[in-house]
Amino acid sequence: MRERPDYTAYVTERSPRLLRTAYLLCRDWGVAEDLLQTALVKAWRAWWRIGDDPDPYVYRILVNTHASWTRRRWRGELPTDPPPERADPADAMGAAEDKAMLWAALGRLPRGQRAALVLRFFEDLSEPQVAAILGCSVGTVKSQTSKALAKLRIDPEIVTAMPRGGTNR
Amino acid sequence: MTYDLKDLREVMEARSADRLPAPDLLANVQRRIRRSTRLRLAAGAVGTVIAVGAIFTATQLPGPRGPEKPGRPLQSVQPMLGAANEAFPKSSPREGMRPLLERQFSMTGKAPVTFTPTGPNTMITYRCSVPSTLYEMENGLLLSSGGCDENGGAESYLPTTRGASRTREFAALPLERSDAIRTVADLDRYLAAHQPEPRSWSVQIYSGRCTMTTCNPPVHQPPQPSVQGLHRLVRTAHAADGHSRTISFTPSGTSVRLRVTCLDGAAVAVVKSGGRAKVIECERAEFDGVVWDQATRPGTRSTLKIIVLPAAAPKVTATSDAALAKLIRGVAPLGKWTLDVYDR
Repeated sequence: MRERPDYTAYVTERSPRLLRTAYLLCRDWGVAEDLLQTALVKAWRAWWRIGDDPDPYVYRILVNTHASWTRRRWRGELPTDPPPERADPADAMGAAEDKAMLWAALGRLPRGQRAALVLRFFEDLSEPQVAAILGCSVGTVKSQTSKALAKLRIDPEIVTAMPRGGTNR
Repeated sequence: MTYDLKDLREVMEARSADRLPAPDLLANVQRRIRRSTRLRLAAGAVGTVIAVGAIFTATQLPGPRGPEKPGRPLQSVQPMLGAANEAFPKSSPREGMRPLLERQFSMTGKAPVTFTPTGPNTMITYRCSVPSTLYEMENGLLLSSGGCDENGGAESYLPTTRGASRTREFAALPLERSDAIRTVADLDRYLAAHQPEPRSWSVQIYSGRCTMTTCNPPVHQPPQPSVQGLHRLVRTAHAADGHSRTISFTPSGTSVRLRVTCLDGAAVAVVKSGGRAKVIECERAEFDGVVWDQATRPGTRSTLKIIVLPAAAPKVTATSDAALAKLIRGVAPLGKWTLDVYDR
């Protein structure tokens, strides 16, 4: 059986990754740092009962705290600038712009769907693990993930930027 | 332009790689833990729990009004009604209490909120778009004031009667303007002399039967024995690291008075003497410490063992050395403790 990690060591080792996850959830570095601190304080209060692997518990706190904050206030997210002109796919600058469009589209996803994508494809967690963190069924995770990916495919900016006759994979 | 999961992974990896946690992250987290612990403990003593970030000032009765500042004419304070958040009653319960109402405000100022409790306990929480000071009043008394920011702020708990409506007044002021306000009269004077400022803040009220012990008034604790004037035989101080330490002393009387003080995260002390173990929740006593008497033989060298665990350690269910050693496994030392032994 794994030993429960030392809290200080856990914070030191895992905070770089947790901060990235927090940022992907809220998309604001200032809020992400605050979110991470809040999550770690909450985790400390329950450290003795968290068990061998604190990660799922801390992810859950991050997701729930962020949800609670966004429910209670407008986060000041603003629409992104108009989409840039479509670039040559072979052009490196164009590729960067494509990624920027994908990033912007990710920001337009509903909070829950974005959380599902972050946990599934950034943290590489399995669907049951994501379900446990989000407090929903595996089926819900599947449908949220699928809807999120579908929304990215039909995102207006991405569709506008697509070449004529082009398709999304 | 086409996207696949590889692109999605790459964009998330790239976009989130810009920043590392601040070097003082751990120190900040520990500071917040200590502060919230201190405030919770302090608030528990008066039946009020203060959450992270809250700084409460002492409650005072309204005092005589001081001389008004000449110049600007005073205006009467217009109470704000605010807007009800219709979705709030459908939100999740907290501490076993159901969400009753939320009132949202967009300006600094004073606002009465009337609510009808649905149970014996009611909890009031706040949220402010920018750091502010929140004041809570009832029947002309300033009950408390506390910090409030986007993460929340003070949480106050009050015993209530189901169905008996209550009206509390709340006021939000800029954080930097709150130093001189100690009474409702001070507050009214301030509000009359200053134009309201745009500021989003809200009050949330939950009611029902609270599942947290601090919701209820504290049980009266008998005063602890005093150590004043007693001769101290020995003092030991260490970090709360779960290590067993042996203390020896030679008392002159038939008992000694012991005091254990735990601070900054040191939480539970286990004191063993004469084959008996005493588990002491010393964290909540803070600087006062926990004091008790123990029988001894006059002139005979006595020893006792003490093990102090940090708050992050699991609850003590057994006091054997092996059981205590298991509790501290994987838990970092935190805080400090002091044991004083006094002759009687």
